[in-house]
Amino acid sequence: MTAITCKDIHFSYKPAFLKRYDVLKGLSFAVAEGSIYGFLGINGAGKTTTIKLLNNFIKPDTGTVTIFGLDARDIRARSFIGYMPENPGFYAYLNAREFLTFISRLKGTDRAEIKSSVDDLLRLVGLEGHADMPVSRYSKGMGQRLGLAQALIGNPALVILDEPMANLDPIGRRAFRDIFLTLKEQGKTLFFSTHIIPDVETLCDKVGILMNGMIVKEGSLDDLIASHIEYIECILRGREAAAFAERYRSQALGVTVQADNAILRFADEKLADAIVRDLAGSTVRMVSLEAHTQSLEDIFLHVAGGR
Amino acid sequence: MKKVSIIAMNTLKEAIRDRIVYVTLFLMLLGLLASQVITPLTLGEQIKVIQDLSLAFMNFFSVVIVIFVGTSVIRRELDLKTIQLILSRPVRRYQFIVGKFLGMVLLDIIILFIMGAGVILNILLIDKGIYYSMWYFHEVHYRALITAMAFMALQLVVLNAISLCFSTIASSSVLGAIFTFFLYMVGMFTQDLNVLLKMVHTSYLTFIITCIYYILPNLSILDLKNQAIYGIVPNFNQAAFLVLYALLYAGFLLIVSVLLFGNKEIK
Repeated sequence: MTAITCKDIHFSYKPAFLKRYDVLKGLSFAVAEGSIYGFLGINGAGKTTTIKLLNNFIKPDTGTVTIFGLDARDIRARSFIGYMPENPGFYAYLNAREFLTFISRLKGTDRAEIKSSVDDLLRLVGLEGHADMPVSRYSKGMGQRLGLAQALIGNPALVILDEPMANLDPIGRRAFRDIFLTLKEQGKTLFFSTHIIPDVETLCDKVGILMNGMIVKEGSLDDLIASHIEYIECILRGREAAAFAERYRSQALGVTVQADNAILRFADEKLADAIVRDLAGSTVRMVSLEAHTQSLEDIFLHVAGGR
Repeated sequence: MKKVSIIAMNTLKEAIRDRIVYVTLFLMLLGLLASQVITPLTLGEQIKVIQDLSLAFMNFFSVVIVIFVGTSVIRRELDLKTIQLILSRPVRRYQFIVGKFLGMVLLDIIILFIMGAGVILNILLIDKGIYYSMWYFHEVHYRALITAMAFMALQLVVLNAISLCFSTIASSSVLGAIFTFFLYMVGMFTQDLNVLLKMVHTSYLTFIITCIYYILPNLSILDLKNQAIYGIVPNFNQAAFLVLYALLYAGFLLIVSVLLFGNKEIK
């Protein structure tokens, strides 16, 4: 089952007396249940707007948004969601324990379970020592931890996170990554927007790159990277390796010879087949054949640069 | 209803931890103390003056609290984005608005109870005071006083509904407070439109003024301060009409707030 489905979403802001501003222009994507989906995009691409649509904070001009098959406007869809906004705000007059208790009650958690579940969540995000401190005294990182704790109240099947690791120190980021992976092991679906590409590379099963209100690239991390092979490097060894490599110079990006080794770099994948075939009747041995792919960051910058 | 009550209790908790409530209560206390100093100077009129001053202070400071707390009750949630953490839960928007409104009504009751106790004590100090009792020309009608306070609470309920309505549409708390204060002032003089109606003889002007008269809140009819001083208590029919008017008007504004908020983009 798909956790999230967005079909041909159009959304525009219409400030009074000002020109209409199109934010989403035919956005479509789907997030499989039990997966981690990374939503990448530059500032203003429409990431937060998309997340607001998922939470029914705003309504699309056209298109449909479903959460586990239910229309996002359906109140029952909210039961599946745990949401952590970017820079979450809290009631300054409450401490973390009071705040989590308040949200637990809204979520409909059984009164008898609230105390233990709140304690568990505080421990999970490392705030057990600050549970009775007013939230107004929290640092940004502590606020982020509390933001995650409230998103996990009621054991939601889908956790939507907007820039979850933006204000965290390296220890906090590591802790969040571990929590996300644990949630995935528990079968939860995670959808998060971010600028931080290493987080996406570490965590995500699938990535969508949003640009100008549309998904311009989407796929599993492996597929995205594999589809962007920069060059293939082949290392040959043997007394005739240099002469063998020279035969392909015209088709190669470069040929380097070092003693009995020859390094061939080429872009055409078919050339690899030809080299392997020619090696069959030769004394030259192939010691390495490796595809050098672009990193996700390269792909992202390439897509962003082409906007 | 459960979610409404959770939001109402949270709103009340937020309001009673707001500094403005304590500052206003402190200023009210100063006002009452000042009235104890001023009243003995009004020989023979002490009872009337102490009632006048006490009820006026109570009315003024409770309105101040309602305007300041009421107009920020939604705006603050939007500015701090705490609203996102609530509406991403299975909470309907009308439950949020009604919860906020009921929380404010609870605040009204608590504030008026505290202020009312202060006012009664303030009047008792003069009424039962030994020094000036021989000079009194008036007597205190405690039943009428409490009735006036109850109708003051109804006035605040209507004002709450007005401030909530502006809180959902105004782009800032200050703007909401200005609009609410303006409408409160207009509401205190709506009854005077009747006088204007008697002076106008053009049919379309009569129609326009009549429309305005019925659309604007008539807060002055809920103001029973002067009647209380002379011991006048509305009879059952009058009281029922006033209660019904206040609740219907507040209910209408609450529905408007729910409709406005239902279509609001949560940014």
